[in-house]
Amino acid sequence: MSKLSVEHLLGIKYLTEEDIQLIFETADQFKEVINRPIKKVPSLRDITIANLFFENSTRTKLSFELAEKRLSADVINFSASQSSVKKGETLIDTVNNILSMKVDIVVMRHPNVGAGIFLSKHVDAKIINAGDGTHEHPTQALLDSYSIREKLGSVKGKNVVIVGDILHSRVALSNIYALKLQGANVKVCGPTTLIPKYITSLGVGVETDIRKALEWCDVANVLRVQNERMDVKYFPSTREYSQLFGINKELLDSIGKEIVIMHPGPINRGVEITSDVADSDSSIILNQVENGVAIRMAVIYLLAQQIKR
Amino acid sequence: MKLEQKNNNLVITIDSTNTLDSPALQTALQEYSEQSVILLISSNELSEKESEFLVNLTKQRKANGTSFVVVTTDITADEAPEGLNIVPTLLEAEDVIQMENIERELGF
Repeated sequence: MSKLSVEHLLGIKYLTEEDIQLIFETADQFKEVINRPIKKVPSLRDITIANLFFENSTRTKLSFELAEKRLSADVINFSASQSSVKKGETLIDTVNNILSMKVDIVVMRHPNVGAGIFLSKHVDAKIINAGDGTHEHPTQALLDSYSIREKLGSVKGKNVVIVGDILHSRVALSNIYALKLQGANVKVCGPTTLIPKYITSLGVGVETDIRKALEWCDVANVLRVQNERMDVKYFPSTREYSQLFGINKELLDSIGKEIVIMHPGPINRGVEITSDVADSDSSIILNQVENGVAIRMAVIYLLAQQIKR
Repeated sequence: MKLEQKNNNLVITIDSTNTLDSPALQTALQEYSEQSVILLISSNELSEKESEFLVNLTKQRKANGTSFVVVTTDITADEAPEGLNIVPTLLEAEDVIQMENIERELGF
């Protein structure tokens, strides 16, 4: 197979295992490219991509932009705050205005769940979901799995624990779909208030003791505490969260086994993870950032192949 | 007050002879409790009581698996009470309903 089974990247839920393998194999080639002295390929020089960010983002936006530029695509950027564009209001107008500039691919981050799906039903362009509310963040999950594959050889059969705020995390949901699809064993660990009740229906185990979770896992993907998404208090204090669910060197040393540490960033150092862990040899956090560019290049490239010219 | 069916949604137009607490509106909302509702109003401001009524209506409809959107050009989304969908056009109201339908289909 050399073609994705989907026309847009709206979520991991819609991908097959073969799609993921194809994305990884394509990313392998692009990773080699971005480590060359000349990091650019002419693959998409007749393609125009619009990055529409209706929610704040620095890292994802930069990563997409770099991936697009490495592929020689023409890039336009649009940012709007949540307050000025709410729900469907002006979204189609905004996008149609941009599409009238003959845009082929739209990369969109939006605060509402399903915004990418909505857009894909209304506009004639490939849509890449760069995060839709608390629903999915597919490229983050792809780069996370890709980083595990790179570090441990494969994802299949590995024990992966996702630690932290599962309830508000699109990264957690996309990771669960991606990891399960590739045959990993997945647990989530965090305060019960931050673990949604439906999570076990996804074939995921729940652990509320961080030590037990770490003893079980090969990989710990530690999520950021997203205070901005919490309209009520889900745990008594940051200090207590850190004591109960924070990962520090002392804890890891006491477990005495090699655990790969991941974090989608940005890190609240000293809250969910301490600096000595984030910067340790076990951490692949910076590899995740590098792999993010290769994975996004792969996704964009594969979707662009479907565009009839 | 005028009732219309449009794209499976109930569109209610409140004219100057009606108020939000009119029995006719209550009856219509009860009669079409399983449909998403678009309410067209021409008020340039909402009283506290009216805001509370509309926010509660939004919550009830949401709990019931349907949507409620207010259309007015006189109140902006930024001026609207928290939890209330306010848009300036009927088309945008339909977009909001479609987005909320997608949210529900995704289990949110």
